[in-house]
Amino acid sequence: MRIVSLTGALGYGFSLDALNRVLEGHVDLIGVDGGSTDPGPHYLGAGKVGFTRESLKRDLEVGILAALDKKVPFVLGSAGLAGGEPHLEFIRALVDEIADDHDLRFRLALIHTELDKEYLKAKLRDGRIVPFSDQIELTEESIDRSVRIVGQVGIEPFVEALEAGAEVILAGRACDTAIFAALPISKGYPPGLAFHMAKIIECGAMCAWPSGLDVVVAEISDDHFTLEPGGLERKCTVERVAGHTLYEQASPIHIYEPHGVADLSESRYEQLTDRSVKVSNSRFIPAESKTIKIEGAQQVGFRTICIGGSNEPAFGEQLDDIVADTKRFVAEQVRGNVAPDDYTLNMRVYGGAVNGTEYFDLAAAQVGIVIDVVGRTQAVADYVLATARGRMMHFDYDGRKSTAGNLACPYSPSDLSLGPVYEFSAYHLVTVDDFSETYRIDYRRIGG
Amino acid sequence: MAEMTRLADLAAVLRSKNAGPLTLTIDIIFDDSAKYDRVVKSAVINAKRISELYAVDEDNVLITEYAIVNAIKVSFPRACVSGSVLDDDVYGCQQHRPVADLEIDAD
Repeated sequence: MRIVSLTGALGYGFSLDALNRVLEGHVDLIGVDGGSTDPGPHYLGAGKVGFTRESLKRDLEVGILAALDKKVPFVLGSAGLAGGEPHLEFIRALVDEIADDHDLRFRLALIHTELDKEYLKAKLRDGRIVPFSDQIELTEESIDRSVRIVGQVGIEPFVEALEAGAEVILAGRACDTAIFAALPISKGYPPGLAFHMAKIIECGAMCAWPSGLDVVVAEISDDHFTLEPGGLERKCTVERVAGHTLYEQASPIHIYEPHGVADLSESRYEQLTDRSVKVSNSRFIPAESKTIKIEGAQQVGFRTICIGGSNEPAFGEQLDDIVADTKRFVAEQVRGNVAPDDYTLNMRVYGGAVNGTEYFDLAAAQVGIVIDVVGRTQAVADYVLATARGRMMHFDYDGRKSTAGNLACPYSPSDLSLGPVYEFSAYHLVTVDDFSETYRIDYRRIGG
Repeated sequence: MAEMTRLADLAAVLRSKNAGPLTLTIDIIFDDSAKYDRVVKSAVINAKRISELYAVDEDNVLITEYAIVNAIKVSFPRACVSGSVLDDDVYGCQQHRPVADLEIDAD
């Protein structure tokens, strides 16, 4: 069975030559990952997609046309980066446009993975939601406060949609591996190999040298899989393939899945041809319970920032005092208008210390400062920021000769209102009785 | 006195990155097994040292020696969750410096 991954994430692009080369042979599925929590909580909270509409549409168009032409499924996971309802809907609308543009007919499956808040609160009361650490506390109140909470589904909804004959599958938040592992596992290939293969190809040609956001093809059999990049300028090497599981994971030898863990501690890697690598002996250890990782985001305020720089050694030398003074001044000035809990004032200093160690000669360097305010409302953030910026700009520190202003501001306006701010409100593990609790599949016939 | 080498000068790759929004992971990859063995043998990268450098609980530091690609992986909880109000590195990709500056003894 031969499975194609277009690129590291939908919207990054990929080479048409590389895709056409892998399509010269037999293929069974074309897939691409669409998401990540890496860019932070904003996308999940704001309901906005990552990447641009144009880049997403281009990658979808090429991928879907190729898959329909080869009569194999096209599978996208974590639509629109965060995989919530607005993200899935944005991608669905793009796919509709593509179908109209090319007069396409196909069976579409939409896998919805946003979770119901009452369902989650019941799980929490039953003690079936556990944290990974104490960094985020999940309560019934914080579930209610969350804009949305998604579950990272595993292979189950993909298998279901494939077996129902879906030709284009668009999923909300999903494990990166599920996109590529669902088909081979449903056809009886060993899950250890399938998950290991999927974990590597979900990043596209990152496992090649030179690495790139590009096409890679995997071929899985009963006792091994092989990897080969689409572009002739790239090669898969043992070092790159074995090293890939280091990337963005806490452990290089364990891949955690909703129903178990892929154990790569005994995996064997061999250079098969100049450009391809063979991997064998990856195992799968089923877990005793079924678990789904959930991700939630909540709004915590509105942000306003000001960027400034100083070329004055004396300013740099006294920066700690200047920052402390500015905070004190702001607290005094806004008292009566704004409660202390209604804002956070943070001075981000660039050119200074790393973890308490002075790496640079602060006094001699240009110092950059981002004055960063998160307020309960945009008006509060704007007000507190303007007060802090004014004080810092004109603060009369010891030995000051540059008395016209302390901060070089590159922009007019100097104060940038950045709108709503979100934080992750959930990143937990939910134990489920059946995975079907966590998703809903909606089938549509496109093009009559 | 023994000659000391900065870890970043021995490593071919020395990077940090999020492993999910709660965890930071640091990869130290060497281009040959001699350098890898030298650093492993030095035991400079240990849970206690990492806990001091990053102000995290020693019990929460996971160190994996991954000899197949001459790599050492260090993972631990982030000081604040990715993208939270006071976070200054959403991707966690510039948190490697304290490890880069560790000194390794010559053989």
